[in-house]
Amino acid sequence: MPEPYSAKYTSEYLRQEQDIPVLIQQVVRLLVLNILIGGGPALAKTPWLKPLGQGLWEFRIGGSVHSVLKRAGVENPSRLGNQKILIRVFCAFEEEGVLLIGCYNKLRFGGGRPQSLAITRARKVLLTFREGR
Amino acid sequence: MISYMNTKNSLDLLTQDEHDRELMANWSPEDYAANRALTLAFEERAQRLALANAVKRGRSSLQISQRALAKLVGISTRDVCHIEQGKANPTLTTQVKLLSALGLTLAIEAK
Repeated sequence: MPEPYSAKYTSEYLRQEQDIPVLIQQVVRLLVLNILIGGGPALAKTPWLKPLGQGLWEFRIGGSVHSVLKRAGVENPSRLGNQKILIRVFCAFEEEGVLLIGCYNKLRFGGGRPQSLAITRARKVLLTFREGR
Repeated sequence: MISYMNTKNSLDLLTQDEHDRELMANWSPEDYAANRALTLAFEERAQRLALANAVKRGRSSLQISQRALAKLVGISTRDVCHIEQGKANPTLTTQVKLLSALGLTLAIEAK
């Protein structure tokens, strides 16, 4: 198995992640670790990742907790029910590893303009990161 | 307390450990228990995938078919297929037989 990529999280990502319910935080954290960071750029060929252009990617987590875990090939511990989850993780695969830029709760904030603004913000953060090298 | 890693343009970045510490800081004991169960489920998945990769690689290097391997081990071709897809959770005995047939050994490491 290939070595998993290392990860760097922006403080904004952490703030957004802390704003979602704890159960969803746990599911998102483990999916990011095991699927996104574990899979790396090869994940681009799967429905987990959507390109947003200029090296920015959207890691897509959506459905019930049960269905999301099933898609990840994970047996659902019985406590976790059918709570809905709709998270978009904005990320980039950089030399330093996977850069976790934003954790957008689409269930709470919806799609459309708020999501577009979140993507624009993520793009700016990625640019800032690259300029700071 | 976070020790941020600053890049030249002062974008605050956290390592995995720093991120995890901050995220889990306000979790209750029940939250930790739920997280342990979920983490175990992901670890079990990782083990299944590791076995799947080992079997696929081993079979490929020996250039034998799934059917031939299944016959050697005494399981169905469908079982071999599911194991290689990381969908099956074979018994320890089956895992040892599979790996042995491929000239491999199973190592268990307690961490």
